[in-house]
Amino acid sequence: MPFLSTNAPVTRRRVTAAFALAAILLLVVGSITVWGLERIAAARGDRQDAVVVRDRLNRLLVHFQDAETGQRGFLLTGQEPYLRPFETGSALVRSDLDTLVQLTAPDSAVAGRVRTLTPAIEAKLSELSLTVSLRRSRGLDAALRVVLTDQGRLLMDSVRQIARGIGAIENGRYTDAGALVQRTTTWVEASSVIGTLLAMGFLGLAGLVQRRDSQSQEEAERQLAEMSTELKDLYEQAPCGYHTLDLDGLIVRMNQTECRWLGYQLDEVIGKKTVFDILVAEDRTRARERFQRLVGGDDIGTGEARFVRKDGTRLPVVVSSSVVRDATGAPWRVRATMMDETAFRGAREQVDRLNAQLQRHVAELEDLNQELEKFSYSISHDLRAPLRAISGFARLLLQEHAANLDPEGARLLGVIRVNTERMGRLIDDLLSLSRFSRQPLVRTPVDMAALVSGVIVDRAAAQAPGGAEIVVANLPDADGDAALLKQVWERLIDNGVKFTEGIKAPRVEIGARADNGTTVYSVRDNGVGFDMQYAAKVFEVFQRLHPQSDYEGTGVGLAIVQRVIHRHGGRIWAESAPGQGATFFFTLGAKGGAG
Amino acid sequence: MTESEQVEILLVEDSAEDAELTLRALKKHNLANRIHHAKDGVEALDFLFSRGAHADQSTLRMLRVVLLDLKLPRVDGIEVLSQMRADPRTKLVPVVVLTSSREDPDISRCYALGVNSYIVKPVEFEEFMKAVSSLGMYWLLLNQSPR
Repeated sequence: MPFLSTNAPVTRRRVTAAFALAAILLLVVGSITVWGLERIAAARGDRQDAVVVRDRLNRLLVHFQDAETGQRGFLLTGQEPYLRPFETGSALVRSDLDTLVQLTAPDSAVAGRVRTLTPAIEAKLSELSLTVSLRRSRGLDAALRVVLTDQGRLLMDSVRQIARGIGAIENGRYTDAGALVQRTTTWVEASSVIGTLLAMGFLGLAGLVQRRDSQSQEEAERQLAEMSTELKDLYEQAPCGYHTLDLDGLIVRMNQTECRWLGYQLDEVIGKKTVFDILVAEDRTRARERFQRLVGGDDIGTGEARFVRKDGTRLPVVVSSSVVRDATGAPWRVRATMMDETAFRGAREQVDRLNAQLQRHVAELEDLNQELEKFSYSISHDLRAPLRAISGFARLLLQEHAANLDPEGARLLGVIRVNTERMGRLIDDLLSLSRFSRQPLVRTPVDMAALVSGVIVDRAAAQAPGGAEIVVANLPDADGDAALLKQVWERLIDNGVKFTEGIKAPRVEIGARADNGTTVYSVRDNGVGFDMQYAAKVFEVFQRLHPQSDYEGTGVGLAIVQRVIHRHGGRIWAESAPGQGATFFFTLGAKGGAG
Repeated sequence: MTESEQVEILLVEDSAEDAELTLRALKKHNLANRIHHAKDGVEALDFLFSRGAHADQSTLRMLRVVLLDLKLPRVDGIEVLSQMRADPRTKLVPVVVLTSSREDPDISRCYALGVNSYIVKPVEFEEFMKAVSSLGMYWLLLNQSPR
């Protein structure tokens, strides 16, 4: 976790959102429950109503039966007491009917049926009353005649039918209300369980987020504490002195390093001494001036100061001060950093000493280089003079005193001459080796194809005809020192031609290929070749892989080539096998490579 | 006309052996008696500018070429060359430098000073003639000495 990053606002937003969701959920659950309970209450009322209606209807039918039974009894007996059930039953039927009308008024379907019930009941009751009064006035037969018309039975049937219809409706209402109660109860239960669980989940989530937040806050606080400990350590143990002053110069803070330098305890200084108190007496006035200037806004830069240690000895330091400003921009404190001047000076002296040493070494190296150059020069002159004399006078002897020499004498003189010439070449090669190592490298774009064809033309002019056929493939341009690269081609081609002497169809092929963005130039011959185990020796000075008598050479040529290639920052290597010819490859370093 | 007035070739060479070999090479072709041999730079300058031992001579009339060694006692070849090139009397006299080695770093300095050619010692006559003919002086040197 990065230092001090808890992202508190985001966390706070998440917690708030979780709480809000939980509250909304609980509200919804509450509403559903209230709605459900109301629905259940309503359904229960409905059911109760249905029961009451059904009950009243049943009572009505029973009372109706009572009234009919009373009528039959009176008709049969003619005795008034038998008529009482008729009278009470009729009254009760009417009151039941009234009650029913009232009860069913809100339900239009039932109320309609109840309304049709009223005339049917009234018709039956009046039929009953008619027969009763006939029995009373005209006797049993007259009443029986009316009964036997079957009118009464029909009227009773119609009442019963209407009553059955109402009962069926009320039964349905009863059943429906029960089912509704059941359904609503399930709904309320389910919603309260799910809603409560979800709300608990959200609350738990909020708690979790808040806990994590407080953990990361703890982590941040821990890191802050660590950091401040580290900063304090850095402050206290810095290799330089730090102190902070108020605007009167009173020391309000000082690090341990400076305290140690001065030899004081911290509590002897903080809030007790001004910075001027610990200065050498004669410097105080000037220091106060500088201090005032600094507080006034001048840049007084770095200066030297002389402190006095507790033991009275002096401590020269280099001080650099700056003003600390408060929020309004007004000066508040002065903070100073100081270096122990002796240590400072010591380090500078060390640097100076090392620099001087380096310069001495460079001068020595330059001397050595010059000496080497002089040495080379004197070799070329002094070593050559006696050589010239030997060679020249041997030649004179051959030319002017040939008559006095027998063939063996002439041969011996010839040996002397050949060897002096060889030594001359050796000296020349050594000189050029040292020259090519020292001569400044001048990099320019080089047309390699033109350079190589120039070398070949020069060779053709200088050498006897014959020798190897030289084939040149396409050569990309290069960046390098044209004069030095000419030497490379000359010597590699010479080398190739030399080792194809005496071979059938001698051939030297010059080419180039691209390898990883670098051009690899190559010179291939079909000459005697060499064993790869000596491949590294090919480029060493005076290392020859073939006897002098077989192939002319000083053993310096390829060393020169290698030196030039290395100075270009390039690489050179050879591949060969005895009797298989040899190929020399080289690359040149990029522009700005080692020079 | 004094002997030195007939000099056509000035050889400036301190080494006795080198001088002998050079003289012998030229002598074979009858050029030796037209040669003046100076053993160091001072002698060469005295001869060229009619000073010292040559104070009363006008040596420059016939001079065709100077063979100049570079490493000389007292005043060296480079100095002789630069004085010659600085003086209108000798400015146009061809100078062929004698060098110990083709690799001599002084060769390029000499060209910068206006040298005409160089010969590697010991001087073979053929080599000498090549240098001379490259200066266009071949016939001048040979034809004026019918013997």
